[in-house]
Amino acid sequence: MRNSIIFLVFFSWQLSAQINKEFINHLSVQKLPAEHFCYLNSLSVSANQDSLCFYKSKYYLQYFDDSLFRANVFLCPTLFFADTCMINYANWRYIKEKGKTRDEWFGWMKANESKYFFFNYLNRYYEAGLNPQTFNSSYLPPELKNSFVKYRRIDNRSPYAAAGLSILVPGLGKLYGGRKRSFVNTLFMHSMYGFQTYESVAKLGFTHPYSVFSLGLLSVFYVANIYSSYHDLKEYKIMLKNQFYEDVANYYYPYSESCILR
Amino acid sequence: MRKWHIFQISFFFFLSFQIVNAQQEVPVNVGSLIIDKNITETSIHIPAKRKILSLEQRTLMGKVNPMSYLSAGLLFFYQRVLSEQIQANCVYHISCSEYTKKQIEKRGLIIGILKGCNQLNNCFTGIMSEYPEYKISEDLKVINSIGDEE
Repeated sequence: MRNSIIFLVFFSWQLSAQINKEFINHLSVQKLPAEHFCYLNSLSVSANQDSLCFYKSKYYLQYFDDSLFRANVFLCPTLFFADTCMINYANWRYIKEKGKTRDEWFGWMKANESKYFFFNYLNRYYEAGLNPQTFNSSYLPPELKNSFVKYRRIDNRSPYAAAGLSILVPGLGKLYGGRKRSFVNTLFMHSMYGFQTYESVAKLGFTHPYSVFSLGLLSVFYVANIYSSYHDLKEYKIMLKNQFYEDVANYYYPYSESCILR
Repeated sequence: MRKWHIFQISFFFFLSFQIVNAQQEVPVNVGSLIIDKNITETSIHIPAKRKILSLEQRTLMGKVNPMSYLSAGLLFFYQRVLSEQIQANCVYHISCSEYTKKQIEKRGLIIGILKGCNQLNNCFTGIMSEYPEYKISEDLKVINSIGDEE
């Protein structure tokens, strides 16, 4: 009798400590975030902490919460790096993010690459975005080639050179930065301002208020064009890089979605 | 005819072309509108609430600089009176005047005006093809941000 009571107590304690994987999969596939969250939090502390952290990180990845996902993943790196599907999905989710979040994630992945011996295409594409000149574009699928080649062509160009060209001819810096329409528009507008100013100075004299106003307007737009040629090229590079990452994410979407819901 | 007459006429045509372009609206399929949205939800166009340039976070020099107040007043006048009259339809998500105002708030008068002038210079329909796909919103406007691109 005494033994059977001890066995029952031990058995019930073990039950509360176990994680029901099938049930978690069901909650994940049916997309029930509230129930999923409650179940994970109801699990006993005595449950396997690595597994619990792993399932929690999977939950925070599916219903994306950057900080909580990373906090849980950092506690169970071995399980995470053993699951290729989850690596795929996490990389896919982070490559869509902009700026610091993306860089931090892929930096952590790169630091662990040699330790856990894994390979992922998205890591390679992230590095291709960082150093486009050294990456061989023949390895890229045709759907990603266009945006990558465009990004690589612009990445070479210097914003200072763009500003210098804009001093010589208004809008030339934009043409150098790969913006043809902007160049045509800027050149046309500046020539119009220029002729208007020339006409007013020639007819009314340099000290006439209209001439001063025209000259001021021309100067403001001229300086704005130089400043923007420098600034726009820097922004344009980042935009093209983001577009490349966006294309990568779209290309890999079908595989990644099926992976996390299994 | 003298040369400057030709330039003036071409400038006039260019300006009228820009205005016509700006006033063009995206055609809406009424049938799909009724199906997609509940018809009771549609409402008349209410102009966005605008405020005069906020100078709360500026330095003392920024607060006492009369040019800041002058530029803010001119932009406020344009937004509340002129913009509503001409039904201006900017190709950018944040309109040129609002963008200039926010840039002045964030970066100061000089950089703010330079950035505003740049956007004004680039405010034509054809500019959309120069932006990457992810920068174009569903209502066919360029998504521009006040902060730096990340």
